[in-house]
Amino acid sequence: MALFRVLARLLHSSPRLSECSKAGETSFFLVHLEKRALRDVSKLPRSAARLSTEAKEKRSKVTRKNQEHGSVLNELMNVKEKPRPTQLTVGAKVVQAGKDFTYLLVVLGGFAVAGFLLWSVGSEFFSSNSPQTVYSKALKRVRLDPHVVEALGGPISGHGELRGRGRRREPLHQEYVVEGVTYMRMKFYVKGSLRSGTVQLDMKKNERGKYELRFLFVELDGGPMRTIVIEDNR
Amino acid sequence: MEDFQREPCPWRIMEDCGAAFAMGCIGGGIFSFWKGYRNSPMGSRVSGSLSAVKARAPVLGGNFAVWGGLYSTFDCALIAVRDKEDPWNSIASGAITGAVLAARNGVKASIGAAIAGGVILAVIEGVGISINRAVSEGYKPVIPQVPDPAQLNQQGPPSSYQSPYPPQ
Repeated sequence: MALFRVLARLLHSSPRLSECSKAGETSFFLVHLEKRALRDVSKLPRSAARLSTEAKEKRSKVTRKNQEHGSVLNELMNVKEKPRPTQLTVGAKVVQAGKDFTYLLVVLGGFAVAGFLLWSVGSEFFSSNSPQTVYSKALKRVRLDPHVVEALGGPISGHGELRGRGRRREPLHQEYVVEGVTYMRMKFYVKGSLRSGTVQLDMKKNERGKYELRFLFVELDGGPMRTIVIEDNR
Repeated sequence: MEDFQREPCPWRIMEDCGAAFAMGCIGGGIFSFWKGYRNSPMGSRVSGSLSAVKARAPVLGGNFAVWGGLYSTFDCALIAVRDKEDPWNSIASGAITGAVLAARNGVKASIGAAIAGGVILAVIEGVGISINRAVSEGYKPVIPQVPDPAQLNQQGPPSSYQSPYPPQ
């Protein structure tokens, strides 16, 4: 019967397929086999075709396999190895070294920029002369002052000048020079549960280059005008 | 006057979320337009890049919006907890946002993302701080022009200070 014929042919062809792939022969033979198998199946009568579902499955598997093998083999055959120079010429070496050096420079530049930015943040936080440190210390003193706590009430929060999209991180500050001595004036805002206020402070650099407080006071906003003097060394 | 300014905090979250979405959409649009142009075959380059933009840009915008919204939320929470607004808040909230968004990948990944977020926000803060510094270094007046608060008795510059203007 046709069914047995197909099965026999498939069984017969499958070991040769593997042989083909192993041996790395051309795919033409596989394609030829596949075509023959297809022709045989299409020749089968309807009933026989229905009966031979198993065979069909096998055939489809084999077809897939054939296609895979075919494509891989085709690829292998069609890819021509480019002739590679076994040794770089002096010119090529110089070009490559120049490229490597440029990339190295770019990478180092990136690291330098990132390092500089991180350093500027670190010095802003940890240097005793930076505006952030001055702001933190002044806010601590304002919070500890009993008059201020009484006037403003509750927990006192501090913030700097509003700039862009709700950021109020930096206090307004200005360094200025009088007779070669550096001063810094700063202004930031405090808010309690009752009232809000503006803190004004001034610092003077001493001989060792450290800032010393000249004055620090809190102006209460609105209501009866009042200024609470926390320190005045002038 | 500051009195009439409302507190930025709860409203800022929405603002940051929207700004981040816009930024992600624009940046993602440019990037995926370029990528789509390169990856499409000849003849359908523009249509390919447009479909890449349609597919990719809103996704990136959404990712940015999630990041921005969470970041701003944590920033506001830290401000409320610490009663203080300073760059620490933003760096810490960047780290927390990274950690939270990577939380499903395990503790290790979460810590890594936290460090990355903190460093990114620190670099952004560093840009702001160094620009500020450069500007204030350039403008350091030699004569104090900041007025003393009016309530205290005025005390000008030291007595030996010479006025640059000629006496009249």
